[in-house]
Amino acid sequence: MFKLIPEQLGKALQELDEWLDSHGKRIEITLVGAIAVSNYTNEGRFTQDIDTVGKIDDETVLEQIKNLADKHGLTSEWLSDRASTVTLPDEFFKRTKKIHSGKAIEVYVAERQDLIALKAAAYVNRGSEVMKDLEDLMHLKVTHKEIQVAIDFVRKKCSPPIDKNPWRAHFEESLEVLRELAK
Amino acid sequence: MNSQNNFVNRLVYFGAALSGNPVQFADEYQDLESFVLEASLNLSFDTRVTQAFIHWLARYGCLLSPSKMRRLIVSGTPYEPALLGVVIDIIQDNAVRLQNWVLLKPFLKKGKIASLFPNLPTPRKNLNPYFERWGLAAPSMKEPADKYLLPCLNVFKKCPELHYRAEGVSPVAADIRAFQDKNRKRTQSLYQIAKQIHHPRAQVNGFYRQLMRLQVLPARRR
Repeated sequence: MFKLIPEQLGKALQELDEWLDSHGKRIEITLVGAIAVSNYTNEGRFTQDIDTVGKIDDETVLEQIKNLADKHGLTSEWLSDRASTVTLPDEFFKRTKKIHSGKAIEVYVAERQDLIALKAAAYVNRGSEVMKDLEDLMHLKVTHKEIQVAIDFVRKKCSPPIDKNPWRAHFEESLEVLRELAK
Repeated sequence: MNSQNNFVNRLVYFGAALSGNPVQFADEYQDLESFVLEASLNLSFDTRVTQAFIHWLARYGCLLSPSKMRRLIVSGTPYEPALLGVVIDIIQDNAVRLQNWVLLKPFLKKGKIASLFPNLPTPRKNLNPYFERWGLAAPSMKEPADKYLLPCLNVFKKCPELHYRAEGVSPVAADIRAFQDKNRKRTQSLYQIAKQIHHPRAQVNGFYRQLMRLQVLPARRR
């Protein structure tokens, strides 16, 4: 399995791969969460789920994911496509890199700049109540240029629609925090 | 980093849904109250870990023994006084029955205003009230518990230390049983057992006899 994936997750993914193969099914996973961050920092992050932007909508696959959660003592969303609803940078999938090819699962990782943009957007959207995205950005040791590109993405794709929206103040404050990161 | 990894691995063993390697802890008795004191020294390095521990405390804090924790502190187990204050407040706010946490009041101390996560920008609003009360600025950390904790029944299958206490067994008897579950092949004196589970020898002696008389534990060879 690919590097720095937590052991239990790796085992569950391996078994899912075999199950998919034996049932003639295939899935693609595109990593965007903490495990994607690990891929660039070479440091494990304390997460227990695999966040993918690829939608998993086959009911039997979803059921097997739950069965494997019970078997390996993982949360039911150990392989989560919650991120499939996020706004992605343009031509995101053209830049993803394949990091693992199993029998029936292909694993891709978001390109570094795209990952930084998505983490920045997640930080702004979640609000200052959750700082894990900021923490991931610090682990990535983002440069001034990278954070500026990320801020441009957040402004373009996630700006509140009306200037007087109460969300606007929070939005601008969050961008300021992001700018500070690269100083 | 080693002590941090050790702490995370123990947190995973006790039921947190984080990456870690809890296997090393599965074969040896793990002391719950020592773990919580250790936690007070390890809440400042990763927000996911801290979030998981807060949820863990809210769920399992009711199983902890205030008097045992006091005994550990008095015997010199290291801890952080402000963060232990946070721990106790979380336990009390989530309690389902009354426990004597006042016992630990003399050992708590509010810190000077500081950021809980010194490596991250200091949060200025939506602070977590538990940490704020003890002089620490921390984000509110309100992610759902089921993302950070494994289902109880999965945890109890592998963790007798929590399982026996969750069944309502007194802390002394629960710890004796958990210790014995993990030391079936090694005969140890009651003195050795009392030392490793951090309970007074007289209490261990009494509960052990009771458990033997009721055939919960096998009779000891003389």
